[in-house]
Amino acid sequence: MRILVILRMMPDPASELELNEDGLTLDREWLDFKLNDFDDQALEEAILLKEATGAEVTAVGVGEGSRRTLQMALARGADRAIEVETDPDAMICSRTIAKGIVKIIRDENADLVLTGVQTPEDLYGQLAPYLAAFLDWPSLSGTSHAALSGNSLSVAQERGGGRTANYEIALPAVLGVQTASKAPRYVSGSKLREAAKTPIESAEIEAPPLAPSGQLVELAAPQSNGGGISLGSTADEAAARLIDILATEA
Amino acid sequence: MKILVVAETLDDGIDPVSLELLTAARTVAETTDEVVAIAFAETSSTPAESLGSADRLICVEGANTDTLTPEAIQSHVLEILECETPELVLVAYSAMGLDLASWLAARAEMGLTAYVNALEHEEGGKIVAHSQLYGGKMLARTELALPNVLSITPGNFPEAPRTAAEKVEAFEPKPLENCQIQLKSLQSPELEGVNLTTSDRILCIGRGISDENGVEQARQLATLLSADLAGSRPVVDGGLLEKRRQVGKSGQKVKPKLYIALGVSGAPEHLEGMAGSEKIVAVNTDPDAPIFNVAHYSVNCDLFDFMQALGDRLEESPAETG
Ligand SMILES: Cc1cc2nc3c(=O)[nH]c(=O)nc-3n(C[C@H](O)[C@H](O)[C@H](O)COP(=O)(O)OP(=O)(O)OC[C@H]3O[C@@H](n4cnc5c(N)ncnc54)[C@H](O)[C@@H]3O)c2cc1C
Ligand SMILES: Nc1ncnc2c1ncn2[C@@H]1O[C@H](COP(=O)(O)O)[C@@H](O)[C@H]1O
Repeated sequence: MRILVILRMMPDPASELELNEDGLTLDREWLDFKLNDFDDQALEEAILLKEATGAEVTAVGVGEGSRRTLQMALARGADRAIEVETDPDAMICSRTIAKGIVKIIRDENADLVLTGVQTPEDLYGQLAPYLAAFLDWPSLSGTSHAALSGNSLSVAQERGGGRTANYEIALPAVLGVQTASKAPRYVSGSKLREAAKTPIESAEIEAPPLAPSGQLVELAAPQSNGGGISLGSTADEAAARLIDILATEA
Repeated sequence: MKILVVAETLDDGIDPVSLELLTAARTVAETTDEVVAIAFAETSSTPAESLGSADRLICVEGANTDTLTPEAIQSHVLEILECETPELVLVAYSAMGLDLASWLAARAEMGLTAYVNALEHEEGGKIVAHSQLYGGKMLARTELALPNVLSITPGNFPEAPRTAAEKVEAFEPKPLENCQIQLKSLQSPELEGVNLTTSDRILCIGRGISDENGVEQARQLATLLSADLAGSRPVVDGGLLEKRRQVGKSGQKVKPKLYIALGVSGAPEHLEGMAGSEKIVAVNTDPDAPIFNVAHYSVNCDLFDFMQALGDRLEESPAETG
């Protein structure tokens, strides 16, 4: 089995997000980029499947700074790594990259494609169902367990209210991974240094993007209620205030 | 203009989010526009009795969306879309919606706009969608190109009234050939012991809690507060708490009198489960954390310092907490 896992770099949502003067784009100059959380889960699921079945795993890194992430993927057990460059000033839009990624999937002869269920930049749609639509492969999103059984995968999908649906999906297939079967592993510095020796291949997105969904007219911080009432500037002050509130209100 | 709403049906009726989608459709519909709902249900059934806010209801009889496979739903909705050629298709940002929305946009060559939490109809007929990006830290306004599929985040539009649909028609879809996906079983979580949906007080921990030690400290604090301990998704995924203690989109929807969020950023998927709480206290080191947008009381400090301070005071005088 050949597994392709797609890893997208994202602005770290915990960092301060600042806007450019155009009011349409993030100021990316000082932004910290990190691997999209759900893609990290997809990577772990790919490695777990490799360990269980002997599959070959190729990691495809998309976006600013993906080289380090690909080295990390190799250190965690990926066999190969391919770096795909995108416009460093723009958000990574699934709608823009989908057809290019489809070409890589076909060139690589993959049987299974894993990627995160979503990214916080997916304004114009999620990648896994786009890929499935173009490949004409079955697909499931929001998956939490994947295991090979014969020529298909048994996959759990999360529903609302903590409910789970258990499916059998034939290969080739695309999964939008929510949670890997086990928490992503940690790799040691020595493994990372070792993996840094593996060459990283590169690929271009050549296919024309899909027609745009619309025109972005504004990007802004959302309106806030100002955080309500501040309980104080120190932990101690806030704890004291909260106890007063508990005694009188809640 | 024609607006198509894809409703989600369960064994015993309709998912309330479908009624929110109808309100969203009405927000942008002009009087001459038609709102059409698709329900996977019998023509004379509870869903048909609830979706009357649509001008017309198309029923695909047989199974409901809870038990149909995503590929069946995709295929049937696409077939209807090809007959109806709507300008807008509204789908919930739900498990079903995630499988359907982008797939449909690709196949039907429509635009797609995700994470929508508000819609505006501007002069000249332009429709602008508001989408929450970066875990709720940014709001994007997009002028829609038509046709467009909108993926709408639950909890942002009021539910349309449950009235019986006047025009109801049955649709016979092409049978699905060559099925690639089979539903094996459906499981519900075991809520015995902790049922957060009935809790009065919840202490919720987010990724900021770090590890077992943090969780243990929070557990003790929850006991002192007479609160139930809950967690955001990463805490549950990391194995630090049981699944039934997860609050949010794929966890429990809660409405306690008091909800204390420690180290929770307040992503839309988390807010979906708790924004209706009576009093929300948020403790976070990031002053821009979206949880502060819904908090009634805010504490901008380290959660460990806060747990320590609150725990110390509660141990001194537990009676005060009421
Ligand atoms: C289909 C789907 C379903 C989902 N369902 C759910 C769901 O049911 N429930 C859910 O919660 N999420 C759900 N999510 C995930 C959601 O998008 C977020 O990823 C998640 O809510 C983030 O959890 P968090 O706030 O704990 O972590 P983060 O977003 O990482 O936030 C951690 C916060 O802690 C703060 N912090 C860190 N250290 C400290 C400290 N020492 N003191 C104070 N503050 C600190 C940080 O500033 C940050 O704001 C779902 C996602 C998808 C795609
Ligand atoms: N869970 C992880 N998996 C893989 N690499 C990691 C992980 N955590 C940290 N790293 C990387 O490992 C290196 C050493 O990390 P640290 O031990 O945290 O200083 C750094 O390059 C980190 O980016």
